[in-house]
Amino acid sequence: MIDFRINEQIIRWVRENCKNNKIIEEFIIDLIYEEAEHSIKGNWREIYKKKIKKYLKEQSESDEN
Amino acid sequence: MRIERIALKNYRQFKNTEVLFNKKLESDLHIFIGKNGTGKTNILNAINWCLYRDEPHLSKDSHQLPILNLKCIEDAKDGEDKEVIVEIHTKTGENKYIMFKRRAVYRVYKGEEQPIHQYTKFEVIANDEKGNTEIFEDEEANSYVERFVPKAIREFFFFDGERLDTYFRETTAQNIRHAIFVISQVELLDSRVEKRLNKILRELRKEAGKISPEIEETRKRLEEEEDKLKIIKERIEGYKKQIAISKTIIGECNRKLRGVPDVSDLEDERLRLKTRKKHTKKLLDEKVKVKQNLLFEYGINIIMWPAIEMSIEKISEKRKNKEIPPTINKSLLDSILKNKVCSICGTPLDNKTEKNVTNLLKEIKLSSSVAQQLLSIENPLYLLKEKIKQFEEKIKGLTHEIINYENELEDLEKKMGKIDKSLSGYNSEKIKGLHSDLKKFQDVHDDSLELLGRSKNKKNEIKENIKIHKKIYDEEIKKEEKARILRKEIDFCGKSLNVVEKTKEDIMNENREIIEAETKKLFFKLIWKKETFQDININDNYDINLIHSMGYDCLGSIGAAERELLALSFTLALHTISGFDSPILIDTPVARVSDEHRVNLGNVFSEVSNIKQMILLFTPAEYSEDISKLLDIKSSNRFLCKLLPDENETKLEVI
Repeated sequence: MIDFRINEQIIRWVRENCKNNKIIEEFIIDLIYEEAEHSIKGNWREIYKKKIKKYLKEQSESDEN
Repeated sequence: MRIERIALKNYRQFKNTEVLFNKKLESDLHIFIGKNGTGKTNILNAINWCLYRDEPHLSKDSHQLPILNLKCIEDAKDGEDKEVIVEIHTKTGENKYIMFKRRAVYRVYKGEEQPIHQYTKFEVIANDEKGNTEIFEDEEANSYVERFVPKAIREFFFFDGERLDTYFRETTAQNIRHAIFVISQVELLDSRVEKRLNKILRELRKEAGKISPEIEETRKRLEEEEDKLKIIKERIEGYKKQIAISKTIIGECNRKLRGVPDVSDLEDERLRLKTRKKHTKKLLDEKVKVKQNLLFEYGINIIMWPAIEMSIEKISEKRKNKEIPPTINKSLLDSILKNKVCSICGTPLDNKTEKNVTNLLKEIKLSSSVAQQLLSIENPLYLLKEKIKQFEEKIKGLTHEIINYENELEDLEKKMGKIDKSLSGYNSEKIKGLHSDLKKFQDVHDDSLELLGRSKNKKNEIKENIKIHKKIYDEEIKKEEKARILRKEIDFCGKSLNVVEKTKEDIMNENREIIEAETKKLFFKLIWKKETFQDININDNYDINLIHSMGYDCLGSIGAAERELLALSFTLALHTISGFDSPILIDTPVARVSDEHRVNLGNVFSEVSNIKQMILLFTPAEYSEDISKLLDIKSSNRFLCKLLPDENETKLEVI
C-alpha cells in the first residue's frame, strides 16, 4: 500500500474544527484518506453511506457510555 | 527530495545519456547550456514524460518528430522493436532511494514516417535504508508520483522562465487562488469529500421527505435556498474572474500605452482647436471688415480734418475778438444812413448822429450774414471734431481686437502643430483600440466589483434564510418517529459538511497569510533595489500588491527582472506550504530579463541553490560572461548540450 501524503494542514484544521466531536473528526479524516489513497470512483456512494452508519453507531455507543 | 541521476535512452535527441547531479557542500546548482534545437528543453520534457507521461514544453518542430530517437530509428531493422526509457533516480530526506522509470516500446517499419507504439510501462522502485525494496507498477506507480510532485502542482516545480515573467501579468488573483487551492490539497476536500457528502445529505433528506408531506415541503424550501446559495456562489466566482480578467487587460493596455499619447483625446483636442480656429478667423474677418467700413465712412472727415481744425480755430479767434456774434446789425445802420431817419425811434438824423452811425458802420468788419454763417457751422464743426475723436478710439479698439485674434490664431496653429507632431509615427487605430479596451474593461471591472459586493450581501442573506429553513426542517423531522435514524444521519452529514467547509476556508486563509509572509521574506532578502519597495500583500480576493516605498501599488510597472523575482519568491513560498521538498527546474530563466538585471537574478538563483536543488537550462546567449562569472564557481555541474553533425543526436559535455 502506498502511503499517500495528505497535507498535514488539512488534518490539523479538521481536528481544530471538530474540537467537540471526535467521531466527526475521525469520520472526515477517514473519508480524506479513503479519497486520497483509493481515488474511490463508482462505488463512492456505498462507501460513504457505510461510513456514516459506522461512525453514527460509534457515536451512539459513545453516548450510551 | 533531490534528483541524483537521470538516464535517457533513445529519448528524442538523447540516444544514451546519463546525467549525474552531484551536490556541492554549500550549494545544489546544476546548469545546462545549449543552443536552441540541441534538446536542452527536452531535459524538462523528459522529466515530465517520465513522471506524468506528457511533454508540455515541446517545441513546434519536436511535435512533428517521434519520441524515439531518430538515429535509433535509422539503425533499426524493419519491424524491430525499440524502446524509449527515462529514469529519474531520487533520494528523499529520509535517505530513501526512489527510481521512477518509464519505458515505451515502439515498432519501427522502414518506409513508415513514425514508429508504431506498442506499449508503455511505468514503475517505481523504492529502496529504504535497510535495503528493503518495493516495486510499484503502472496505476500504483502513478499514485506514487503524487508523493514526489503531484501532477496538479508540477507547474510550480518544473517550468519555463516565461511563466515567471507572465505569472503576475495574467489574471493574477485567479492564479494565486488556484495555486493555493491545489497546493493545499483543498481540491480533495472540495471536489470530492464535500461534493459527495452533499449528495448523500440530499438523498437522505429526500428519503425522509417520503415519510411525511410536511417534511417534504420543508425540505423543498430548504433546498431551494441551498440551490440559491450555490448559484450566488458561482456568480461571485464569475465576478471575481471578470475582475481578474479585466485587471489583466487593463494592466496590459496600460503597459502598451505607457508613453504613447492618447490618440482619441488628442484627436478630439485637435478637432476642438480646429473649430476654435475657424470661429476666431471668422471674428477676425468681421473685425477687419468693420475697420475697413469705418475707414471708408470717416475717410472724407479725415481728409477734411485740417480744414475743420482751422475753421474751429478761426471761429474761436473771432469769438475771442468779439466779432461774433455780431453786436450791431449792419443792414440796420445802412438803412438809417440811407433814410436819414432812425429806423427804431423815427427821429431824423442830424449831422453829428449821421457821423457817429457812419463811424460805427466802419468799425463793423464782418457782415452779419457771414457772422451768422460762421455761427451756424460752429456746432457741426465741433460735432465733426467729436466724431473724429470717437473714430480714433474705435479704430484703436478694433486694431487691438484684430491683433488679439491674430495672436490667438497663431497660438492655435502652434497647438495643432504640436498635436500633429505627437500623433505622427503612431498607429492611431491601434492606439484608439487600446484606449477603447481600457475604458471598456475599466467599466467591466467597476461593474463587476459593484455586483460582487451586492452578491456577497445577497449570499449572507441566503445563508440566514438557510439557517431558518434548516431549523424548520429539523423541527418537522423531529415530529416523526419513523424518521429518527434518518434524522441522525442527516444531522451527522450536515455537521460533517460544516466542518469540511470551515476547514477549507481556514486552510485557504492560513495559506494565503503564510504565502504572503514567505513571499515577502524571500523577495526582500533577494531584491537588489533595497529602498524601492516597502511591502507585499495578498488581500482577501487574492490580489497581490507590491507596495512602492512611496506608498502606491507598483506591480504593473515593475521590470521583468523584479517581476521574475516576485514570481520566484511566490513559487518558493508555495513550496514551503506544499510540504513537497522537490527540486526546482527552470528552462531559459533569464531570457526575458535585460542584461543589466541578469546578474541580479543570477545572484538570486545562487542564493536559492543554498536551500534547494536548482536545475537551470540556459541558452549560450543567456549564459553571458557576467552570469558565467557568478554561477561557474557556484554550480555543482555544468553541461553543454552539443548536437552531433548528423543532427539526430545530442551529447552532453561536462564543462
